[in-house]
Amino acid sequence: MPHRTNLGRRTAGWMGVLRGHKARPGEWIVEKGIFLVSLSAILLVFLIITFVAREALPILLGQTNSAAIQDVIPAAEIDKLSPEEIRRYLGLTRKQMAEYDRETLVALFEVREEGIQGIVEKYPELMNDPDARLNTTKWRHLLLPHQWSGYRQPEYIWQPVGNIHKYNIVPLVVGSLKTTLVGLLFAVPLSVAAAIYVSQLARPTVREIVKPAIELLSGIPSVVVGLFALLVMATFLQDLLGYETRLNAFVAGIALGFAVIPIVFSIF
Amino acid sequence: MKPKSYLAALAALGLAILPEARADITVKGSDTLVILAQKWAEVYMQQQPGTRIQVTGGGSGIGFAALQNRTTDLANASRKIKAKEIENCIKAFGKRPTEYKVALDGLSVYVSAENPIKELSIPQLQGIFAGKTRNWKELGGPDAPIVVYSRENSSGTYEFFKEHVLKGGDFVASAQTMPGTAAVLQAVAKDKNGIGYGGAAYGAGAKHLLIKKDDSSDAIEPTEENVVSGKYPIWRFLYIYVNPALDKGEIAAYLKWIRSDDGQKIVKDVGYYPLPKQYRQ
Repeated sequence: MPHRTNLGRRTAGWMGVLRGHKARPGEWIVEKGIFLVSLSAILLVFLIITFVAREALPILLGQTNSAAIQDVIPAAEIDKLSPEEIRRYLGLTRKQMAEYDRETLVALFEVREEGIQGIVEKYPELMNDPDARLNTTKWRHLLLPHQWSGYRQPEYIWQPVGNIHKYNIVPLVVGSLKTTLVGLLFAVPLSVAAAIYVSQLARPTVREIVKPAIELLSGIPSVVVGLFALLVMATFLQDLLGYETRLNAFVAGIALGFAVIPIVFSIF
Repeated sequence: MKPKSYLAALAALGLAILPEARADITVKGSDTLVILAQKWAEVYMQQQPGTRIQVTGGGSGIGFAALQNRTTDLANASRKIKAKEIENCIKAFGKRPTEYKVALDGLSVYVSAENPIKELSIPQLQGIFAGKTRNWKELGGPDAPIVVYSRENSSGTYEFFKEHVLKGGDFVASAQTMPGTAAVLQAVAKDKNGIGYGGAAYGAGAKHLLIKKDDSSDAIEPTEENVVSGKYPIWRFLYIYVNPALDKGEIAAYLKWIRSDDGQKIVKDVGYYPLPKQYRQ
C-alpha cells in the first residue's frame, strides 16, 4: 500500500520519533512495546540498587554490632525482660517480633548464648583482647586505619571472616582503582589510535576487516577473558618482565583493558 | 510486516515466557562438595528417573544464605554452621537446621613440585599463612619469598583453615585469593615459590606436603587410612544442612541414599573419604 511522506509538515513526533507517515496499528504496538521494555530495564536497575541499599542500610545507619564478645542474657531470664528489651537484644524488627512465639524467642536466646560461649571456650585468649569487644561496623573503622592486636602498625584491613571481623572500605576502593588505572593506561592509547587509524587513514578494504574484528572483542564473555588472563597471560607476562608475583593487579589491569578496548574504539 | 510474521513473533514471545522446568530438589553451597554433589545427583537421577536434582556451587557461605532465604532445599557445607547463621535460620523458618555428616575430607597443603620441602608442622604453617615467616630459607628451602594462595572468604575451606591452622588469626594481607581449590592448585603448580591449601579431591599437578601436628610429631600423609583414623591433623567432616520441615519424602530419601553404601562408594570415586559407620546414623 503506498503511503505519503509529508516532508513539509514534519513535527517532532512521540518521544522525538520522526515518522514520515501515520503509524500503522502493528507499528504502534511494537513502538509502545519497545518503550515498555526499555522502561522496565531502567526500572529494574533502580530496583536492584534499592534492594542492595536496603540490605546495607543497618550498617550505614550504625544499627549493627559485630563485636566478637557481647554481653549475653541467659535464656532463663527471658521473662524478666520487657518485649522492647528482647527486641533490641535480638536485633529484630517490630514485625518479626510480632510473628515469633515464645518458643522461637527462647531458641534465639539459646543460640546467641551458645555462639558466644563457643567462641570463648575455643579461644580463651580472646577475653583479654581489646578488639574483641569492639563494634567493627562503626564508620570510624570503615574509613580510618586501626591498630589491631597482632599487627605491627595501624593498617587498613579487610578480613570480614574470623573471630574479629575487620571491615574497611579503603583496600577495596584502592584495589579497584589500581586495576582500573592500569587497564585505562593500556587500553585508551591503543583504542584511540586504532579508532583514528580506522576512521581516517585506512583504505576501505582494510577498514571493512579491522573494524568488525575489534568490535567482535566486545562479544567475548568476561569470564573467558579472565580465564585467559589467569592461565596464559599471567605466565607469559611473568616470563617477559620477570617480576616475582605471578598474579597481580598488572595482569588484571591488562585483562580489564581487553574488555575496555572495543568500547572505547566504537565510541570514536 | 505481514500478518503472518506478527503471529510468528507473538508465538515466539509466548514460548519465551513459559515457566521453566522446576527441579524437585535444589542443592546449593560448598565448592568443595560441588563435584561430589553433582555426581551424587547424576547417579541418583539415573536410579530414580522421576526425581530432578539441581546442584550449584558458590561456597559454604552461599549455601547457608540460600538456606535462610529458602531458595534451596539442601545446603552443602565444608564447615560447621555458625551461631549467627543458625539464628537467621530460626528467624526464617522457626527451627534449627538439621545437620547431616556426609563425607570426610583431608585438607592438603600444596606446594610446587619443584619445591624441595616435603613436610611442615602446623605451627610452621601458621607462621607462613599468617605472614610471620616470609622466606622459604627460614624453613630449609631456597632463598625466595613465600607466595601464599588462599580462598575467598565465602569459602568453608577458608574458614576451616583459618580456625584450625591459624587458630582464628588473620591471613597475611598479601595472600592471593583464588576462586576455588582447582584455581589454587593451578596457581601453585605454576609458581615455584607458592603454597596453598585445598580439599584432597583436586590434587594433581602440584605436590602435597606431609603434615606434622607439632614440631616433634611424625609427618603424616593425607591418605584415606590416616584421614579416617584421625591421624592426619587437618581433617574435617563435610556436611549437608536441611530445613527440618522439608526433611521428609523425596528429600529425606535422597539424604538417606547419600549416607548409604551406594552413596558413599561414589565419595571414594571423586577422591574424598567415605564416612565411617559410626557417623551414619
